[in-house]
Amino acid sequence: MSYLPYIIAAYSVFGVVLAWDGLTPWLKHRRLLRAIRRKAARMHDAQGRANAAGAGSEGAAK
Amino acid sequence: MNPIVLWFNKLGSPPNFHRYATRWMPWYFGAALLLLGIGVWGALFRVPADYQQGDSYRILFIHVPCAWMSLFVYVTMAVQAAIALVWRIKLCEILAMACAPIGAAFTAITLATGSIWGRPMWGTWWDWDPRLTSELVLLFLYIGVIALDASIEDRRRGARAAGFLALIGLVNLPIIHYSVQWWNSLHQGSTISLLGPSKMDASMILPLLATVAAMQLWFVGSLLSRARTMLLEREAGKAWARDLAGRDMSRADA
Repeated sequence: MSYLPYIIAAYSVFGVVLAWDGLTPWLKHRRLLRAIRRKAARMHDAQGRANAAGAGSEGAAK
Repeated sequence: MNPIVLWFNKLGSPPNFHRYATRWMPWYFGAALLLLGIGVWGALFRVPADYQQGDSYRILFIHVPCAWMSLFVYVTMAVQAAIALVWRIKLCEILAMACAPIGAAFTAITLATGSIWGRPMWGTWWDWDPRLTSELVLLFLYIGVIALDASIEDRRRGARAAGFLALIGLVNLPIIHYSVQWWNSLHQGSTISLLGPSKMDASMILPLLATVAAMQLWFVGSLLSRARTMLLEREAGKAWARDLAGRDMSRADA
């Protein structure tokens, strides 16, 4: 009896689960960094617009 | 202050832990893959076939290390959970919760590879044998810890509740370990002993030790990777996380 299909199946399961375990947190970490960057950029833009609006209204008052 | 205590205190700070994990994680993964390569090559191509089981026993070179790790990771998770419950250390809560998916992965590999080995050897994919059943209960415990942690919106309360469940589940570990002695089990008894003589041939032990060491290193690498991600998720609004994301972008631009 050949045990090769069983050995291939067992080692494949092992490889797939380990790959999942290694890759999932790494991908999530990258996604999180992108989300933090986007949020910081949005906050920076909103602050820039608020500053510009403030300077505009001060100019109009003068 | 004692330098070791000082080092642990510094490591407890989120940016310091994130920096430490990012720096050392690739080394642990690299060493794990190197040792795994050596162990798997030895298991598949170097050691002779078993006189009773033929080549099917080559599955045990991945099954046994994962089975040991499924118990070891649970103990690590319970110790971290106990520290988090008593001293309310945030990093220990994160480390305990980061252990759960890794332990679940090792337990799933143990059950799957054991089932694949059992089909040609026992003539069945599954049997409600004490060792197999208690290992399945361990998988459910890991899943329970992950689900309980995720189900409570307050992350710290979720981690504490899940940590409590992890501590209760400790009772299952001696059942798994001694099940082959306490009951008339289909599962074989232990072949390798750390303290006494082993029933395994010496030529087969070296690849097994290589895969065992590889799985230990993989666990540390994976724990650092998961913990730094959980930490970043919890502290996404903090200045250090924004600085880190900014530095990462400037590195990508360069």
